[in-house]
Amino acid sequence: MGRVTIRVDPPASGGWRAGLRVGLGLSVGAFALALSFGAFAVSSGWPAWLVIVMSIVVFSGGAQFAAVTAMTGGGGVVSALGAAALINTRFIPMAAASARSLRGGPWRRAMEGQTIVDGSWVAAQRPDGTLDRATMFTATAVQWPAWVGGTVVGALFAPSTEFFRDYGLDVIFPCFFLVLLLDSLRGKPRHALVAIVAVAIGVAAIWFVPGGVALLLCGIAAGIAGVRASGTGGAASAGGADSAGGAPGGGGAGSAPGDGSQQ
Amino acid sequence: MILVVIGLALINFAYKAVGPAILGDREFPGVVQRIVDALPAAMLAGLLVVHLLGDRWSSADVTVVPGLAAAVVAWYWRAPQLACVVIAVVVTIVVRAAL
Repeated sequence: MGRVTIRVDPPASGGWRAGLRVGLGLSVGAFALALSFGAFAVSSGWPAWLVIVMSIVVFSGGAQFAAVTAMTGGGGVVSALGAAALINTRFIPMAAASARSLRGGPWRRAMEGQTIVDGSWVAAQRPDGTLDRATMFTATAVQWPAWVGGTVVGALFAPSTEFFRDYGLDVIFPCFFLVLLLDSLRGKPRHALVAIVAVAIGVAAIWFVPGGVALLLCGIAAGIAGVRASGTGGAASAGGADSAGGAPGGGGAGSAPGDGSQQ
Repeated sequence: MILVVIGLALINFAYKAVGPAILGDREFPGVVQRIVDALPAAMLAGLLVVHLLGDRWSSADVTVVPGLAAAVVAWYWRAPQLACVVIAVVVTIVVRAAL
């Protein structure tokens, strides 16, 4: 008799509606950031059409800023690619962590992995450590046109720095990440120490290294969870121990956007 | 410049493709899974700091603090995420106009 494998997906806690909700919020920040990127790149001597193409095919703020900055600062193609590649290194562990939640063969998984962007990936995390594909796909799908649209407007109209400051556009992204972090900690208060250490690392690192690298270093703070797990035997599943601080069935890092508690 | 765009697109694609394509359905050991589970909190805290301070703290601006504080209060009272952001923006605009 053949072996029968039954795949049981975790209960839906987010789905595309949650992705749409969180994606809309993130897209506001993405639009504002892309606006500044478009203006920055054009003022740095890049042709508007290439800046727009870059946003279409790359869709990665930190790396795009880094590449343009490196080229403007007298660096060549290698230094621009090196800086951008270093900044985006964080996507390697993020994508690896998402692997078991994606579907299909290697090629399909590779394509699905392209939807991984910071905000979407965080929002799609489930309490059991898996990833809600629909939430991530939708959140990214909403942000991409906002990113491209913001770049188009920024590249063509090049608004001034004062414009961003006067209209408070520079506060959008930090605020959104702050709210997502608070949501995350509401569901998993045991990660408060991780967040505090990450903030400390980030504050120090951003003085010495580019933002993307600082972000990568912040990820080291997550190692605290591993150390704690080692201290307690590390046998408990990631999702099981998280329920201590959250409501039953909810409260993961990205569950708040989808669990209805915030909306 | 065109080479940079093409190269960056390929690097970005590879970063996001390799893990999912190779690892497949494999699950991480418990300790690794704990770390992966804590990554979002670490990344969010990092994103907050990076966007607030900027390279060499070039974007550090005390006028955003009241706006962020207002967003925290709104979040505490269970305001939707987008509402929290709008409140932060409005408070920041008002603070900057007043100073």
